[in-house]
Amino acid sequence: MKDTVEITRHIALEKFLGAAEAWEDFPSDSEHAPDAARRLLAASAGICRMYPLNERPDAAMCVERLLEREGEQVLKAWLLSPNLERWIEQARDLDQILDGVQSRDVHQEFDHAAIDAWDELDQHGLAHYQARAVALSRGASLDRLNVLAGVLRRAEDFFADHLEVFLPAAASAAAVLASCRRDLLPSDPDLWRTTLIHRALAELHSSLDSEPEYEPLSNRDRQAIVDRAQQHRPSTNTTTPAKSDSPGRVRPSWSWLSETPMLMAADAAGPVPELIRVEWISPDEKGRAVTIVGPKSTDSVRINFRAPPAVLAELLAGKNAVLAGVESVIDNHGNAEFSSDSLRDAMARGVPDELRVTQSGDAWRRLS
Amino acid sequence: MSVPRPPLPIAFFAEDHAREHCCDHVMTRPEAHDWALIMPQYCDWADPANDEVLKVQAASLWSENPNANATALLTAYRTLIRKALLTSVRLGWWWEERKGTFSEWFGMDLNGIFVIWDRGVIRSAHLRRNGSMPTKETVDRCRNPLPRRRTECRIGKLLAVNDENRHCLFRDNHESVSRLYQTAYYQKRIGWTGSDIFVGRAPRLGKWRSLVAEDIDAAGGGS
Repeated sequence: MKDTVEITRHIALEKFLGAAEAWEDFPSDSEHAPDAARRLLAASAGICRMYPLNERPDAAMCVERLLEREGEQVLKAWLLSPNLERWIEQARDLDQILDGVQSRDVHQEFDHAAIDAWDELDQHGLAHYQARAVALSRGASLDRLNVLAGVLRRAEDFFADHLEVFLPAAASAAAVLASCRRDLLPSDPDLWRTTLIHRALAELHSSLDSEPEYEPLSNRDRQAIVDRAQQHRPSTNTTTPAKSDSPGRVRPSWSWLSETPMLMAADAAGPVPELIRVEWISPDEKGRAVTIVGPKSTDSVRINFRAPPAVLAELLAGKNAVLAGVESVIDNHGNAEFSSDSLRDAMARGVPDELRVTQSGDAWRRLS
Repeated sequence: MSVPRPPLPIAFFAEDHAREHCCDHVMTRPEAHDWALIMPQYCDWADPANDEVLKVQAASLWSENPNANATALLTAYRTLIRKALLTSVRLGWWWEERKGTFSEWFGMDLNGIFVIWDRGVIRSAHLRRNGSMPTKETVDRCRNPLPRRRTECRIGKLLAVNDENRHCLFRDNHESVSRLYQTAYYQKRIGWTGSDIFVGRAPRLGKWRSLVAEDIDAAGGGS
């Protein structure tokens, strides 16, 4: 496989060339022209993001000349294109659905829609940047542009407040960031600003540590781990449930908490487990708490509490969250970090993985 | 090493699944407008710009005796997606994603129909450009056969059925499907790939017309 940066830049170039073809295919007064104009402006800025002027591929320079010749028509057509109001409505829909996704197919559909929404926001940001550059170079009025800028800002605000909705696009965001020119900030701060949404998403993704950076084990390696683990397994049969100390003691369901990757592999009957999503619902069923863990051991487990903004602000932010007796504090974004060592200790002592808000609060019910 | 051909399932997981997809995609505006571009007889069976008509037809599919027009729409949908799957495999416009031992295939045809399938069944087939999201709540299809229709959304007018509009539909869907491929690539989920169509630009109008003509020939003259 080609290097990520190489393939990302190739895709950006192809997008630019394709956008130029689309613009040429339609007369400037056709109903498709506004969309073609948006694509052309966005793709042009996308190339500028990745290549300094003196390093741009020859094919890209040809299209640049097209934009210089027809900039006025492109700008005029773009100003007729829809703004991001519809995007904001659709993003709100995605956010509403996020907490309720149950089936695999719907989850996949949600992921695909989130990827589309993310890219559309990026494209609008790029198009806006380039349109402003064209307008300034030609002394055109910025009135309509400024109106569209207001809608773009609202869309970006929504994005910033709902990063988790767009998490499926995090890998693409990271790839674009890695492919941007190193001197982007000093040479073009306005264009650099279009990468802020990429940074926000990439940072959230890396903080969740949801992508294991390892190759799946081969069958031979997996068997070697099983053999080695069996040599060191305690004499007690761990698959036999321990006797209860007291009647009615609930067996803890900690299967989602990674001990070490090796032990997980040794105990797995099938393929090495990948991402595990664990979800709880509040006693009044108005709030959800979610954590996503992978087999790679981490220092902490982050649980994200999701609720309508007013509920989050009034009832959750700043409160203690308690998981199996281990305490943390819910921050303004609804996140609470729990020490992995403390959780493993609780697991080893047989404490159930019950989640509460404050020590005296009712237990949140596990959904998965 | 030659690329192994993907499996070619012929049907959805269950009859209900096919009906759900027909309602959620073919009969739900604004995506219904796009289906009318590629389904020549759509307007004979329903008005794709009329929510009330579409709702009646969709409800009919969930009744004990679906009417002839609703059945015809469902049959046409099945035929189109089966053909879309075959075309995507023939052109190499597909990729495989793997999760452990489970594989899933994703492909696109010359109409822009995006198909998802596994070894046994077709899981989904839709046009991405104007798709609507599912609802959070479980739906009673007999009472609400079109749960994805958001009546508060403004929808543009129907487009004329011509090559330019069909090509636009194809190109828009190619862009969206390419995003999904690229995301899967960055997430290292890709297994086999049929071609590099999803990292390149879409065929231009003239080339697209040639491919459509070849596709008709490959299908034995029917479309």
